[in-house]
Amino acid sequence: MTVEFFGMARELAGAPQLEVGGERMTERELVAALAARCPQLVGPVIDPAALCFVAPNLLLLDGRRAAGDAPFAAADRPCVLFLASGG
Amino acid sequence: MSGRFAGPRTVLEIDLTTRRSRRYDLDDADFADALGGVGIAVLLLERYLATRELTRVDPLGPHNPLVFAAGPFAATAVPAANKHALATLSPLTGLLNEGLSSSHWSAALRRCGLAALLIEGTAEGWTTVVLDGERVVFEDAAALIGTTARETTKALRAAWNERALRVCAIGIGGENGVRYAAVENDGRQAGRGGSGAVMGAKRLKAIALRAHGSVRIADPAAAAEFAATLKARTLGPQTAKYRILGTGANMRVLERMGQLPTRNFTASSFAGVESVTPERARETKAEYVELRSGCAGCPVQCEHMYVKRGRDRKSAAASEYESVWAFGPNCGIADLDAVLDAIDRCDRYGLDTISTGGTLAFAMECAQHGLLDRDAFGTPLEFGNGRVLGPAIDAIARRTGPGELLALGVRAAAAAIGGSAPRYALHVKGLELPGYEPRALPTYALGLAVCTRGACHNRAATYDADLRAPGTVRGEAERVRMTIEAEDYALIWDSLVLCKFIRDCFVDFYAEAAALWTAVTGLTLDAGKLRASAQRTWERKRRINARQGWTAADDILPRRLLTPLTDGPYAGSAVDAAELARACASYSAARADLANAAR
Ligand code: SF4
Repeated sequence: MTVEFFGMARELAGAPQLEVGGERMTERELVAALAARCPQLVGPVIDPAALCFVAPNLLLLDGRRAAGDAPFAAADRPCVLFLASGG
Repeated sequence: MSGRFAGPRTVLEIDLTTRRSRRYDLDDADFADALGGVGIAVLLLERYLATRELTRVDPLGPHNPLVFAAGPFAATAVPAANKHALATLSPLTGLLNEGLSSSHWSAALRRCGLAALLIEGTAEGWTTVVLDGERVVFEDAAALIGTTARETTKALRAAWNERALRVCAIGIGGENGVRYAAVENDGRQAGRGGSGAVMGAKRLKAIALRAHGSVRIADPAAAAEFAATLKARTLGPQTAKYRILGTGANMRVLERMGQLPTRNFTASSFAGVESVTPERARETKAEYVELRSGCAGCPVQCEHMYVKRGRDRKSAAASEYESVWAFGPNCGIADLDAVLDAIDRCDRYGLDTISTGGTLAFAMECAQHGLLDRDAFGTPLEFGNGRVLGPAIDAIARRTGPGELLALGVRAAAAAIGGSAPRYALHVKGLELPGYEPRALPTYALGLAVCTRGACHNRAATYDADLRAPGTVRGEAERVRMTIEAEDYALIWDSLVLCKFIRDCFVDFYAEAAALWTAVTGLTLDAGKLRASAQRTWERKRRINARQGWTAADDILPRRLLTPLTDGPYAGSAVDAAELARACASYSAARADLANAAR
């Protein structure tokens, strides 16, 4: 599946998107895959111990927060992003 | 309360009509009550109106004061704290308008020995007020008329032979009474709500400060230690998004979320977004030069400015999300050069970019419906035409042709145009909407409706909570609670005054901010008192608005937001008018309970 990056995640990854393999990945599996493929994200964007995103980074699917345990399908395009509020 | 307020406590009141001034001191109790910045400015504005028994004051008349109040950490080593508040009655809303600006002028105000400066009356001719230490000097400003704030600053520095003279001034927009004119100092603006028009109506071109003094700190060692810790944090990952990217990076994010207000809020997705996002300018280094700037005493320097290679660097324009959105997606314009040029023009004329862009989007829609002359600016006044921005902004600033009408802001312009025009006027209480989509952000929608300033995203800051959990459905009680919390949180930051861009640099904000306050001012404070101060300031804001004729019926959103979005993942979402009215009533009841509990 294709994971899109925005803002600091894109800056750190050095690319707007990344292909990660696997059918029906859970969010934790996706985070683990991203940490392995993009170690630059570990720390500022990814919490490697908890296997989740560091707030305020979040994972979005179809404009809404990707929720809980529902696995992603291969055709999904989840996005890693956050907003710099103000200004 | 213990100790004695260590910083400057003097208020200087200047009457431009009589050219008299007087000084008096605020009590420790005033600082304990309202802290500084917005809290003190609002306190002084209410006292001014109450002691004179003024109601329904004309914002452009002599009885509307301009109140500048310094942040209590300005002119100290605390980073991101050289800030001041400016409170007045807005010519757009008729209600309270409290804004912030920052940098050297804020620090100089305290170094002139002042906690606040209140200016009333109307000068007979164009005037500059110079505070030279204890002296108040009134100067003829006729020669400065028609100049930008920067040119005014340069001229005054030359005239006073003083490079460190700190100047706040209005541009041509303020001189001409554009109702959304800004007040500028050091390249920073108190932008929203038309304070520049109030200054212009007083025939006050500039206020220059020649600061001689320094500022006393209650516990210099503790304050320095705290400031050093905070400074180190402001250079860390907590502010990387502002240092490296700036708020302009929000453009792509909101587009991907399906929440980018487009063409005067008729859509929530903009096909041309990639052509206009400031990130594109950043990424195409061969095409654009990036310059960085920011406020004095702040290590973050968050402003990212861009100019096409080969062009004069002085025309580099700030690429804040709100400004780029206002002229880009909101006007349907996918031409970054045209957008940056529009921002630069607004800065030079001294106009608020959000309201200028909102007014032009309104005008484009009016022209589309035959309510305004589509060819009035020599190139079609229509969504997507970047060429129209320049001449239209020129006409607004100079109040020529249709610019005369558009200078009134969307609410008044729509009333004057009549017909279906009010349907295209996107405002709350007269203030044009910023670039977030209330139909996709339900807590923000409530915050926007009840906001005392009108459509201000920095006061109704609940968009942040909504955007951190997009699509989350919340009940009314939770939205009311979150709205009050966000308002009070913003009020504390705006009274202390600390830049909200360093909000993630505090581990325990309330405890650390209270300790910092005590170290700098000598007055004790705790988290509970900080929150109580915010509630009191909010009550003052509401009382000022009530004096000006505000009623609960004004807490509404524009009709367009009650109709469903038609595109993107939030298609079908709308604000439910009845539900919003109930939430607004619950909000008022909750605020009343808090007020009663505090008595
Ligand atoms: S973060 Fe930016 S706006 Fe805030 S004080 Fe620093 S330079 Fe100014």
